[in-house]
Amino acid sequence: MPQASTYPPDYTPEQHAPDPVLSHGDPTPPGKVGIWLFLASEIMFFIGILGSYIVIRSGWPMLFEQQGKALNKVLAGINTLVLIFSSLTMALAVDAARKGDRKRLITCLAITFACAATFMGIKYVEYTDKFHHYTMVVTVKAAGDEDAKPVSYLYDGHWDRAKNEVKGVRMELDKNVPVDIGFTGKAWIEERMKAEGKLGTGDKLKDEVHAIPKGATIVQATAYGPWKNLFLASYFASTGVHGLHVIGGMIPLAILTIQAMRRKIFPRHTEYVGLYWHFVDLVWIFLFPLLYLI
Amino acid sequence: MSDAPAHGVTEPAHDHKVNYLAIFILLVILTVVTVLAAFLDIKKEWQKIAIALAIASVKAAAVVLYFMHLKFEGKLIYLILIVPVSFCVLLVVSLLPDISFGNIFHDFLTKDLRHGAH
Repeated sequence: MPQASTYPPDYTPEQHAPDPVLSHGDPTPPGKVGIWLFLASEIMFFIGILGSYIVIRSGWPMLFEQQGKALNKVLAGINTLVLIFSSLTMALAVDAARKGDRKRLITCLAITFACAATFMGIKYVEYTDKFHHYTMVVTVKAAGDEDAKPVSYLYDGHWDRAKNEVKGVRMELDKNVPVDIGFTGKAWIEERMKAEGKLGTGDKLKDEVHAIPKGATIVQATAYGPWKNLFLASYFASTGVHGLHVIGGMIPLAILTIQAMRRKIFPRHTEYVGLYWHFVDLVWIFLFPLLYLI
Repeated sequence: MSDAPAHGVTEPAHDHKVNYLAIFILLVILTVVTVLAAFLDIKKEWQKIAIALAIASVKAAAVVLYFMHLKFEGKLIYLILIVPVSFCVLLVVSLLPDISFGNIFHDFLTKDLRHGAH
């Protein structure tokens, strides 16, 4: 007579079978393999953009060095610290989830989320600043004198359209020298004025408010958008894509926080979101010196 | 119930004693150093780039090894990573000659042609 089953009624074979991963020597859980494979594809994605930046820069180092000076190093530095700090709180959140410390988990996840929001806020300030920063060529003709030759000026700075003034630098243009506004900027003007002897070698141009005279014609104008030149195109492409990744990370962070508030802790999922979040931090660690510092 | 965790519901078992705060402080110090290095008056551009990239690599290594626990992972994760990382290097290095050394090759070529014409 066959022996009756001694298994308890709630027995499910799947839960007691040998772990297919554990039993083969490598203790890496499948989910972790999955997230690392995803990060591997992310590396390829970012090297596509960063690689094109490196290759283009190597072909045109002067433009990149000059245009890079227009970016705000202080804001980017603060953003770097914000992201590094969010990486710390994320690592602590993973630790808290593993130990089942719900209060610490909620705190750490909330701080991480707040840091991500701060990062995007600072990014917004930076982007708005770039879209109000103009380079333009303005031609002025002396009033009442029909025969007077018009004088052209190159402006670079923040254009207040309502007051019609530019807070930045100004240079008189030599008519015989063609200027492409896409490749100029404050650093370029400084260099030119030094070459022409209008500025001492050790001096620096200071930002001043220059009113655009009445009756002047704005011949050309371009903001510091991605269309201005290859440096800014690289800048917006790489920081834009990175910003999208930050937003993409905020969604699972919010979900995990809400779940923790509902007394549900997901240690594994928290760990995987953490891996992604550290990767986003990692990309910024390379973007910051490449775009802002060198 | 056995002590072995059941598949699919295992808790992440490894409790690596990583001092996250120390890693964070290291990253902050390196960030300050890289910003200060940018304000140094280094004339040669490649030296600037080398310093910035070296510091960034140290920071990246700290994040990957300790925050992402790569130091405690098995061979499989390293195997997954080595493919895209080597492709990164391959992609950039193989494209660089196209632009950055293009002018040099162009000069060689035109010189040779000029010599040939005489």
